[in-house]
Amino acid sequence: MANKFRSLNSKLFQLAMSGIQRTSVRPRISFPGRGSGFTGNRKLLGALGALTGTAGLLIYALETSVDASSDCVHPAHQHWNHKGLLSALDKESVRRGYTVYKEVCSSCHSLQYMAYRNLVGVCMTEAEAKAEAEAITVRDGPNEEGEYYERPGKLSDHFPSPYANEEAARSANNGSYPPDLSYIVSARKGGEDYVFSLLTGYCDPPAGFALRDGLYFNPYFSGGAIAMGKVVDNEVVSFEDPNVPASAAQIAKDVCVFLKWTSEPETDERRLLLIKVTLISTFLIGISYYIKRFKWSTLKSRKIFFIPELEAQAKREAEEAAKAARKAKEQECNKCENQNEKKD
Amino acid sequence: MAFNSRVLVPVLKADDDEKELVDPQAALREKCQAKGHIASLYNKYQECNDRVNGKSKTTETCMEELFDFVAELDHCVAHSLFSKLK
Repeated sequence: MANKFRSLNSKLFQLAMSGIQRTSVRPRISFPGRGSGFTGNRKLLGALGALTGTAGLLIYALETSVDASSDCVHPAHQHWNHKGLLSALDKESVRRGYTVYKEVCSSCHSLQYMAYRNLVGVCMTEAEAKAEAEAITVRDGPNEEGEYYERPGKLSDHFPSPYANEEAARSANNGSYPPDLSYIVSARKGGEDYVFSLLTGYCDPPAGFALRDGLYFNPYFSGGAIAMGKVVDNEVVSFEDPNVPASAAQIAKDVCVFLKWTSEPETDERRLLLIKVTLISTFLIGISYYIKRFKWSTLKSRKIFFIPELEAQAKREAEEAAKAARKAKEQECNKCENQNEKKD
Repeated sequence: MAFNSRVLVPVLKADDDEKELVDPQAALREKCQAKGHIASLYNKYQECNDRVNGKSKTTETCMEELFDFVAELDHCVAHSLFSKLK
């Protein structure tokens, strides 16, 4: 690596030097004062360019090597339906993912930034979302007597959290904190690829790895020891759609798509907006270009000539015109004098 | 295989037509593990396991071999896994 880097640096420097030499072939006699300044600026710019390129390559090489020395496996890239500029989230998968979250994940993980109204129009109708909300109990109040009470949930309520606070969560999980899943896909490097690999990547620990009690081994987790056990397996969730087999990979995929939606609920709207803006901007830019060409056509089609023969001819014609004008003026003066004599 | 940590117990089912649900990821992992370079990585991992388990006073771990094997295996699985899912 160091040898390649040094040779690449020398190559860049040679390129810069050859560029400078090529410019120096120009004769300097015509510009005695500016030549040295121009050549100096060119050399300086060449050196700066070489240094910048070298620094960029160094940073890239260091970043790549640092990334390669992490303490976990990099997740493989899956072919998600929503990857791509003109792709949308699979809303059926989001609906199945909500089922997986409700039946599997919600026993430990909260989803505090999502409300039941967010599900309306995305993967549920309003009636379905209301039914889901009424299935939970919310502590509300105080009433007119100053007392708190329990009531069924409504659309504006957020998803219930399994623990009152982080300390309670840590106490119940041997010191580990199950993170809130609202923005987990945006928060983790690798996004849904990481979450999918984490859910399906459990295996036996390698020899020599001392695994503490209460922890499980997952090569995709940083350090390998994770407090979350393997919860995604075949048929741990039964889907409403009988045509979708509830295999472990399917369950993991659906919950990842659901968490992708909770992380970026407005992705589909932004993609629609991108399509609209692109089409309208293309049309308007076309019109602007035509108007610009039309307005500037007279100035851009103007031609300025310098022809010495024409200049001399024009000067001669001007002198002749001046003489003719002078003669005409004298004749007029003579006429006036004649008229004056007649009057006397 | 490292991922088959559970022993399958045969379950008597009332309906004979109902098939055992096969996880496409597990099937693809078994299929990919039979490939040449992944099989060699797995063998290297097993060699390391045997070597470390055979010694009593070593600080060596087989984490790196497992990482290489798991990365290649799941990269192979990812090529066609999502085409088999809904």
